[in-house]
Amino acid sequence: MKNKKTLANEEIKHLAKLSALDLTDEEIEKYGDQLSETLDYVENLNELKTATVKEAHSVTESKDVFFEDGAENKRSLKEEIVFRNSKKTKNSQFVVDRILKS
Amino acid sequence: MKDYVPVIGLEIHVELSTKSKMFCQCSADFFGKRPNSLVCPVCLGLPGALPVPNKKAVEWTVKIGKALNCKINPESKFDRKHYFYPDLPKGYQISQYDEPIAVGGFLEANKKKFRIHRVHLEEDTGKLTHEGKDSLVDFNRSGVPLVEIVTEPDFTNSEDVVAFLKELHTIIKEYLQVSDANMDQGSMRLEPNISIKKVDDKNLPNYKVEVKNINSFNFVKRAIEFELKRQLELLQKGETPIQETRGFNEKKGITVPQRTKEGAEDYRYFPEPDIPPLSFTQKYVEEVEIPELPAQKTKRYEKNYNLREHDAFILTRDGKMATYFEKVMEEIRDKAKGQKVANLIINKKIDSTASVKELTEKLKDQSEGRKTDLGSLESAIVAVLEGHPKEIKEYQSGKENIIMFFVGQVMREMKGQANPQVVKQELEKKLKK
Amino acid sequence: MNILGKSYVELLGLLNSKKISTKELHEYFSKREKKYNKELNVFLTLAENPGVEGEMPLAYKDNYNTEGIRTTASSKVLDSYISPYDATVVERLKKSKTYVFGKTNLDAWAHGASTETSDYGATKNPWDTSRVPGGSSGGSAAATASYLMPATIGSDTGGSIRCPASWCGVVGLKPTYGRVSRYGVIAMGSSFDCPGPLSWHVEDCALLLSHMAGFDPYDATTSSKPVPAYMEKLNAEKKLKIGIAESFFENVDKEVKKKIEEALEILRKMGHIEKKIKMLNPKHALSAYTILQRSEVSSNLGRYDGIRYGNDRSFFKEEAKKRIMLGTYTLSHGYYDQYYKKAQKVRALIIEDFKKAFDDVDIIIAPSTPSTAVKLGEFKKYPFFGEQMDILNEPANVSGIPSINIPVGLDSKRLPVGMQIMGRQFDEETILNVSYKFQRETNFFNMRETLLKKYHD
Repeated sequence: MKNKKTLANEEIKHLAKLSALDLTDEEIEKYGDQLSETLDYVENLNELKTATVKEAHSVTESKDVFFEDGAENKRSLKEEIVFRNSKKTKNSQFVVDRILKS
Repeated sequence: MKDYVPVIGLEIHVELSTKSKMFCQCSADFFGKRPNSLVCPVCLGLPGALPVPNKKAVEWTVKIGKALNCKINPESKFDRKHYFYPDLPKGYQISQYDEPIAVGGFLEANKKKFRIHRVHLEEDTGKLTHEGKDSLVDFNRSGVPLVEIVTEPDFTNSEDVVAFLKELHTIIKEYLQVSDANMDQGSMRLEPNISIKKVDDKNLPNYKVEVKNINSFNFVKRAIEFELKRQLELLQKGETPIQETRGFNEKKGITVPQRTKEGAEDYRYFPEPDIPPLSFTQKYVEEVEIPELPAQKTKRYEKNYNLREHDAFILTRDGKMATYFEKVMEEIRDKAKGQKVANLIINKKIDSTASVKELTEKLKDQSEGRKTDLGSLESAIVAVLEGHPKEIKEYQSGKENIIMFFVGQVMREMKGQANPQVVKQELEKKLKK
Repeated sequence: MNILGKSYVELLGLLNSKKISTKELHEYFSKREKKYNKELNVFLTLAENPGVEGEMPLAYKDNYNTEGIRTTASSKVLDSYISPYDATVVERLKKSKTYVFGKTNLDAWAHGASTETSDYGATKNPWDTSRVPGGSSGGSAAATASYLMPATIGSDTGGSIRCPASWCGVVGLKPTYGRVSRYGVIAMGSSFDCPGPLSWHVEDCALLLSHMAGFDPYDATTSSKPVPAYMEKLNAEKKLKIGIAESFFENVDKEVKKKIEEALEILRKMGHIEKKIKMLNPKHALSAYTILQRSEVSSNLGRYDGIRYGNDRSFFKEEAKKRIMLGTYTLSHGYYDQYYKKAQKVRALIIEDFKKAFDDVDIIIAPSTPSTAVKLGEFKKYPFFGEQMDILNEPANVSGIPSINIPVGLDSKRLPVGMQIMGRQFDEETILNVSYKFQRETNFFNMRETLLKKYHD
């Protein structure tokens, strides 16, 4: 008998909010089941003992990669390019229609 | 307030005055520039863009950490801090979470030691302004290097907070010269966390109120005072103040609630995969130079030049002033003149552009007798005499040493800017009429 | 001049010796695009202008920023997005005498192993158009297989080059993480994404890699290790120790196993030695990858708010939404340790596992995919199936090592079987070398000739 770890609808709603996604009720139901299945699968990680293992933040061993302050800027974007892909602009600024918390 | 004691901690953000932004080569000198003119794929958060850290910004953070007597962590890294807001182009801010560059330091102010919890480096956001129904975003500021300094909740009054901030400001602006640290323009920002506990309570209070939007040193005191008063009233009524973020309204001098976020923000921090970690060897840390700091300099001036603490303090607030003072003292080679030179500089009788020759001339004036402005002396004498008819009668009836009383009064009126001999002469002239 | 089937290297030679012109090449491939793209749905966008004389046409997976050309990541969120800049890889290849011919289809945001999650329709497998080409670089693989392009550029985050290369029967190389710059490639899994080439001929991949690889000041995760002369090393004599791990052959189709064994026999005859090694089961790599990738995805897709560019987040489709939410979950307060942190630790174990294995052997061979190409619509039945198809590819992504897919024959359904050759970090030289020699030995079983007959001029 598979012990299903279900993500409750409330949890899916919360995740959708944190992710700034709007979901229909149908989606909430469907995703709950599907994501739970995925979470079930990854439980197999617990078969490996990792108490004394240090996390690998990366596969490379690089450290201390920087650029020099004041280096030439070769990537500056011209005004037409900056706004080329945006929907609404005003006074050289991007416009957000929704009024958000101040 | 007898039974209660304030518990105040500070969160200070300082914009570094590097040439380039934190993760790209765009200019960091954004103030007053046309909106969205200092942007590139990186600071605009375009698809596919990647961050590479600014070496100087990291160095300067180490400098700040060292100046605040912190331990520089041998290993550090950047982390992503997630939340959605129009001025945050990537949907996350590259900041530092559990491995900041510096931890555990302190800074003295008002003769007290205040502990520093941590110093870390992050990027600034764009600027959001509101115009009617629209919100407008300018990304010039997006990606500018920002150092965050967090203190322990060691402050118990607003005077200490202001003194601390001023000391920090002097160090960062005048001495390390890593930021303009201008509260008006936002290159130095303060958010105090304020709560109150009972005097005998060993634990920290179970709430704290964060205050935002304090744009000058003057307002710091007012904001804190108002907030403490507000919280005390609630506590005395038996209520616990709500844990919240409040904004300071400078026109009214009060704090007001900002719209509360539902539940605590979950920033979902995780290590920034696009940037390899930072390492700071002991050698590197030792080699990061910091100049003599204001506190040390002040003590040195008091000791070496016999300056009054107050004057030594003033001289050391301004890097140019202090440097000039020392230059002059070195040329004069007379430590005894220290206080006199200090006075000249502080009272703006001489400025740092004046040559040592000019200054020595002024010094001579002083020792031979201060130059007296006869016009103001006349008015001062008249004013003093008018105010003391009794004493005039006493003088005229033979008590001649009362003249010294008058000299004292006139000197006070003239704020010391007079030669006592000349004052005595003029007084005698008038009194003997 | 008969162009059909000529390798990238060959065409470049003809171009350089002026036996053929860029104009001719452009016209040739444009004709083929018109003829076959409707059926295969390989290209999303064609560049407006042919290149300058002397330049080779090259197609890029549509997650590469190409200046002035629409870039969508196959998502309606970026439906009308015109790239303001070139990815470093594009810039470098342009400097190496190529021009952008077009952008190829992918699973939206590279989320998938079939190209079916593209908002612009699925790409079809040239071998059997009722089947998927694999993904997420399905468009690039199909374009290469059907010779709509002599070679293409893709990206591999969790098998996204090797899987479609395997199912379309072409060569696909996932370089070492950090060997090639990710700057300008729309980020999916930041600690996994590897830009790489696909082609019919191993030397084409070697040449393209030599132009793409190297430190990039715009990508802090690129390596400053010098780039070897891959082309020169292709013919070097090498006798290699081949590691075979049993755990990489579990749950693999019988026919796939058979073809791999036949390929290994050929390699043995070529003088290489096989050695049985013990490695962690790939299922752990799949789990670690699933958690870490989705965490990074949830973060990387946070910038799509429609304010500065593109459409708003309501344009995200199902797969993207699911991945974003799962990633948000695994990073969220209370779950971070259990998922993200645990996965990072297992990642460390897998990296160590490969390090140990490569003390013993020079390359590790396994199937690229447990089966051959599945039918369109098959993946929808399983929420996780797409990813499970990549189970054998994940270990290389989790450990950062390079891996190449080479075709090793057809199964009874006349579908390609792919074999992957994994190597040490930054040892692309060795895996290219053995692949090149294998191709010389077998001509990849005339698979190219078979398909070119189907996709004649």
